[in-house]
Amino acid sequence: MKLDMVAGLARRIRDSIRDKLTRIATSNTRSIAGKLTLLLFVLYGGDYWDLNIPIVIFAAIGLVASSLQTNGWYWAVIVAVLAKGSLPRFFVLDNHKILMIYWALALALSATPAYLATNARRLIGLAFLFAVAWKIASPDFAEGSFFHLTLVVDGRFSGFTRIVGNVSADALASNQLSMRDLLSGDITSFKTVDSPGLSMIAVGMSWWTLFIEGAVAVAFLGAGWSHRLHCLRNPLLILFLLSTYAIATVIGFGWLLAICGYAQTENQEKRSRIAFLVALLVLQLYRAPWTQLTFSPTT
Amino acid sequence: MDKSERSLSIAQTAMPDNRVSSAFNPYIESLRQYGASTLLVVVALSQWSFVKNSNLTPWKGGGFGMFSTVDAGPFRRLVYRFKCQGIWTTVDVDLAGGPDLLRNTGEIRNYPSQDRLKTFTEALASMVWIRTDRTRHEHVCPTDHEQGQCPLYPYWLATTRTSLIQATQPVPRRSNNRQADTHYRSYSWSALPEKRLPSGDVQVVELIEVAVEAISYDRATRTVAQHVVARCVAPGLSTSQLKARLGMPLELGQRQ
Repeated sequence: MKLDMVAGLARRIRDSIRDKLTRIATSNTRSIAGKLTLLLFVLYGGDYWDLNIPIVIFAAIGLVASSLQTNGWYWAVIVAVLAKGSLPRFFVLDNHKILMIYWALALALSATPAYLATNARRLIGLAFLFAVAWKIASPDFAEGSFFHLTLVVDGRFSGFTRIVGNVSADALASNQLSMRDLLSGDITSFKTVDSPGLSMIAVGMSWWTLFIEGAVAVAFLGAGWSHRLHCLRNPLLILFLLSTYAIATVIGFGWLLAICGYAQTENQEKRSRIAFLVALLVLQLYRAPWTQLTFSPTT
Repeated sequence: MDKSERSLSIAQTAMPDNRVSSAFNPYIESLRQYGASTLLVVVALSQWSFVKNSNLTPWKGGGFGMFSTVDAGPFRRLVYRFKCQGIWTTVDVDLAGGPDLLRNTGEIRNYPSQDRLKTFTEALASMVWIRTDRTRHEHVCPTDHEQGQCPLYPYWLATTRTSLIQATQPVPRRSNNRQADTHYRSYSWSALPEKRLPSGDVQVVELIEVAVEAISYDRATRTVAQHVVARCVAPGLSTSQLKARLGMPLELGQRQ
């Protein structure tokens, strides 16, 4: 009797979730992408008060007034606010803050979900194309120097370096201290301390990054010409999101790409739509202090 | 699926992404389709040009080169060298009393084009400098100082005429009177935050050099080193300019 009740309840919950997911997968992508973008602005709108406060206010209004989420003029105001706050800091801001402006502009210009999908696909493809071009042009990327140094001195990678690279906390602290001394002028050079396998990991990460970013660029820019690329583009972007932001936890950037990815899906690509939405949630899990949870303070 | 969703679905299916619905104006149609991506391409090409020609770090100014090179803004540093009485010294400077241009050092680190670095250096050279000889780590990290682990560095404060004028009237005058001289000092720096009150003297700086250094990394030898990305030299204020700036009569103090 009790088992039947539990089974019935479980069935109702499952049906309810399936129903909600089906609704999300078949609803207006432009509206949901707008909503998620506004949430992105509220959460990761900017570090500068004169940019952050107006953008949070406008985004909050848009989140409450759902008709604004698909209103081109509303998005044009958002673009103006973002541009006013960002342009004076153009040479200081991170690139995803600038990418937010292109995306808000796409939302302002796109009258239909089809327009938005086209714009999202182009923005993703071009952003990855230029990212790969820079990495190929950079002499210290392909041969692994960039990732090698980043792994041993950049605090954002410490967890990964300790878990996968088997580098001790003392070694990382020593490298970071030396880097601080170098940048303050106390020393003119120093040698990094690492583990024997870290060099190969750095080279592997470099080639993986070149492969996945290049593949995303080709798949998104070539989706109109090749059915195979068209089918591959969503899995490749999701793979990029889940693999990259687990290590480099720039969650705001990850969210922006996931929202663009969601917006460019077609009606028949329901699984991809849900996967992009799930990716948004998974990216939040990456923010947890996994290093502290993995290692006790004494190790 | 309700009626509106179904009609939307049909509309999307009927309009492939590269053949979206026709509009009245072809220019607006093009803008809708290509506006955002064209802006991205323009910024990306400009960034490439700025990096290749004007020392912009690939991480900024559009930032498509982020995570591609160790030449990132936080790994660049500004090096200040002052020439006083014929001797060059590398110094630390405190620009809290300076104008916005000088306080926003992040921007000049990221993008030290010749023009921008020249403007920055000339702005530095036009300031009044006070040498305090306090320890850098005393300022940055009291704990290190307590442990006696920090060397002594020349430490320089910048101030401006504005910060002097902000002090209570009347405008102070230097004199040979020791008491008045003391009064002048405490009076003049009162515009600076209390904790920054300097204990040194105004200095004549003949030349100021500002260099932007970036790091490089040799993976084979595991060595991190620095190299100069850009540098600029500008003459500092002469004694007479300094006196005029501080409102000091030429016949008092050091004569030229």
